[in-house]
Amino acid sequence: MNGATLLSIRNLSVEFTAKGGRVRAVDGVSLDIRKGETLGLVGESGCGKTTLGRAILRLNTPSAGAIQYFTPDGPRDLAQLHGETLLPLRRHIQMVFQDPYSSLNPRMTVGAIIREPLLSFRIARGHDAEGRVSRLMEQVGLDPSYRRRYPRELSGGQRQRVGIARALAASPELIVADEPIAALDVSIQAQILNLLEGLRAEFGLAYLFISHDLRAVRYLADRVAVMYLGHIVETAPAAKIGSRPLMPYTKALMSAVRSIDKVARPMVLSGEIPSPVNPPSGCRFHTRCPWAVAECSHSKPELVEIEPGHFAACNRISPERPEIESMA
Amino acid sequence: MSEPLLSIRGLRVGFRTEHGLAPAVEGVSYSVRQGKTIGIVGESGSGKSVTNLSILRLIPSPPCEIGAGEILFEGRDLLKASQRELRALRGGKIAMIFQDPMSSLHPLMRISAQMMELTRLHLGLDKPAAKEHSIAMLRKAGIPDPARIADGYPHLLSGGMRQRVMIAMALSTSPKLLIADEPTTALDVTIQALILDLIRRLRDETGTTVVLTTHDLGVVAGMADRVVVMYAGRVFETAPAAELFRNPGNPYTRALLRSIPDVASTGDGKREKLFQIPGLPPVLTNMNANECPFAPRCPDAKALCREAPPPFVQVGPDHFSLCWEAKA
Amino acid sequence: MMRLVDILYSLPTLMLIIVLLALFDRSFFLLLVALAIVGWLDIARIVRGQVLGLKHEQYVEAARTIGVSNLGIIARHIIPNTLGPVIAYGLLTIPSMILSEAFLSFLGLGVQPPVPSWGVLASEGAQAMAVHPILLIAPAALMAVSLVALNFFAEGLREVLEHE
Repeated sequence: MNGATLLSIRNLSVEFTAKGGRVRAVDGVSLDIRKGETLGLVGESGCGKTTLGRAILRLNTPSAGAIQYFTPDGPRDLAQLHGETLLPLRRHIQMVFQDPYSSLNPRMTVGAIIREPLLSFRIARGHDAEGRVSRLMEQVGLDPSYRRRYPRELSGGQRQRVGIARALAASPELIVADEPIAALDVSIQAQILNLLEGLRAEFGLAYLFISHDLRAVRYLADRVAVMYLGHIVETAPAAKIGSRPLMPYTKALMSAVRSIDKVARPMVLSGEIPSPVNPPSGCRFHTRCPWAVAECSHSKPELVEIEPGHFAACNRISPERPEIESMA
Repeated sequence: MSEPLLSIRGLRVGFRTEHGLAPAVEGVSYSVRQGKTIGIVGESGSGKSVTNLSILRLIPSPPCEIGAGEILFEGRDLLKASQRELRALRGGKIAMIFQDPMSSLHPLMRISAQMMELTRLHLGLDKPAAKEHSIAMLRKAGIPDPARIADGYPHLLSGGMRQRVMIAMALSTSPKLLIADEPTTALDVTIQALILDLIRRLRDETGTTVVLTTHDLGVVAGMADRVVVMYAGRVFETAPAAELFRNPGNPYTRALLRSIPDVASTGDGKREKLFQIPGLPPVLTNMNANECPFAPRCPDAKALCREAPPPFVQVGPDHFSLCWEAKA
Repeated sequence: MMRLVDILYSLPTLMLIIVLLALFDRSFFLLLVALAIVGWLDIARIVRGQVLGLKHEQYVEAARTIGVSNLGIIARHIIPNTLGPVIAYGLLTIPSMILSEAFLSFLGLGVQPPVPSWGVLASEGAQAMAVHPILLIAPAALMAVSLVALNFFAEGLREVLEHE
């Protein structure tokens, strides 16, 4: 179904200084994105998904680990590159930002915004660039005559389309979409999701779709990775993550998303999400886990392949005994 | 029991701007019986928040103008009540919680002081009794170590905790009516589940009537007995919750239900295009009064829909729809 | 760099100017230099504040991801978005400078007659106040009107630029 590996992240950590101390927003994360696939990345506040997305775009500097991008000439580690050396690789990975209101320069016209990457990556200039801008606008469903308008004249959905056109301009292979529909009205969200999927099919793009909206992720993604407090706690094909979550946090997350056709009482977690500055010991989820035992507070679980293609990090489950409900 | 606790009839609200009167609510009517929960669903521009805030006349009166209608609470028209009478009701018989808890919690007052202010005023408790009562309410709301939290200030708490404090505060006077304006929109999914569960528990315990506003149909499915769907300042459909989801009687409702991705992913690389509602959400200031406000985007629109505003038609027991195509 | 600004900022400006003017030959040029040395400090702070704020805007980050060089980011993304407050504040320094010059000239430290300036005119007018009050009132009133007009202009321009 999907092609070769495009991006391989190994043991990536990203640290910040926040009030209270050093925070490891991303802590030893490893994942792969294959050509043409959509990987969904879900989690709640403080889980590090946005930081991970930004690390791939090198909008922050990793403190450890590697981000291997597989170019036709071989893998390059983005984490080790800076400034000038990073520039040519930026073409391949682009980003669609969350807030359509602040991700476009208010003083630039729509046309100029979409043209900018063509100029900075030296893809096209002048007349050629204008032609490409028109085509890009059509591809994202914007009337090319809007090129002379300013962002403030457009609606949220239209602005997001501009952001998508800008990301497409460099003909990237991977687009990191950071909560691309969160700021939009429900009736517009479907439009943008359809657009993203259509573009993916047409251009063979890979997506890292970061979202807290589990329904949208289950729809768009081929595989889903769940993050909690800087770690990946489960990875599975999208269809399975909803129907058969293995790790307790994922179970809670899925049950909390109300299915419209089933009025389900959710599995309710006790406690608050711990602060990333001072994460719990052992398995970071143990403070809220209904199945936690003594071992869970000192032993940090690794991601283990419990079922084919389905990985979970939980001290109590294993390929022999994948169902946590079967335990006390 | 036959008389609804709250009954809004023909409410029209607008905002006076330098360009004239901007309509926000155009003839909204709904009612809710004692002990029941009504869910109001709508996107931006639907007028749901303005309707809520108008119940207690919380919007400053220029620029807000209440043009027509009645809001009957326990048989009395609140729109004709004096500010003093409204003050007596606010926090007492009618309580309200908001999307952003920081906006209704005083940052410089201890939590216990804020809660006691309410209970002493509306329940006539003396200081020690009020303090006890506050701590008990916080405990009921699932706040750990309530005595210590009560002595603290709001900014020390997380979003989910503040929301719980707000709910504890709102319910501390055993109000007859609780208006919840997008109470979980800004929260993480697992915390949302907690908060909604809390509202449900307390509601079941005290028999409070709840008006819950949200843009999330899933939230409504789990909480409401009855649903009101709003669009462009009007009620487009109202029905018992189960009936609405099973048998939506209005193209807008149907479109909303269809455009929300649920478990549609087939996981084999091919996914169906999501149903999307074309066009943009309405801007109330430049609307044509002689057509159905949804007509420009409606997949089922006929010529009649653009010539005259649709009637509010009964399509089933207790089930009404604003549509030319609606039939019993 | 900002340390320098902070240091200069802490010195009493008027005293600084008076000292400078006392040390060197009084000339129009020196006056301009003296006023300029103290005048740029406020704007430096404002611009710095603006830029720091803008650095974290999503569209600046977006510009980085699409390969825009640092220079390009400053030129196309930062500067155009700082223009509003900077221009407005810049214009407001004009009345402030006029006032400072008038004050210094009034004290005799600025331009010397026969070079005219409002300060000089006011100074001479003050001396003749008892006999011909108009000689003081006229320059003072005109200066006041000009300053107020410039203030309104700066305000208006700021509003226009902000509305964009």
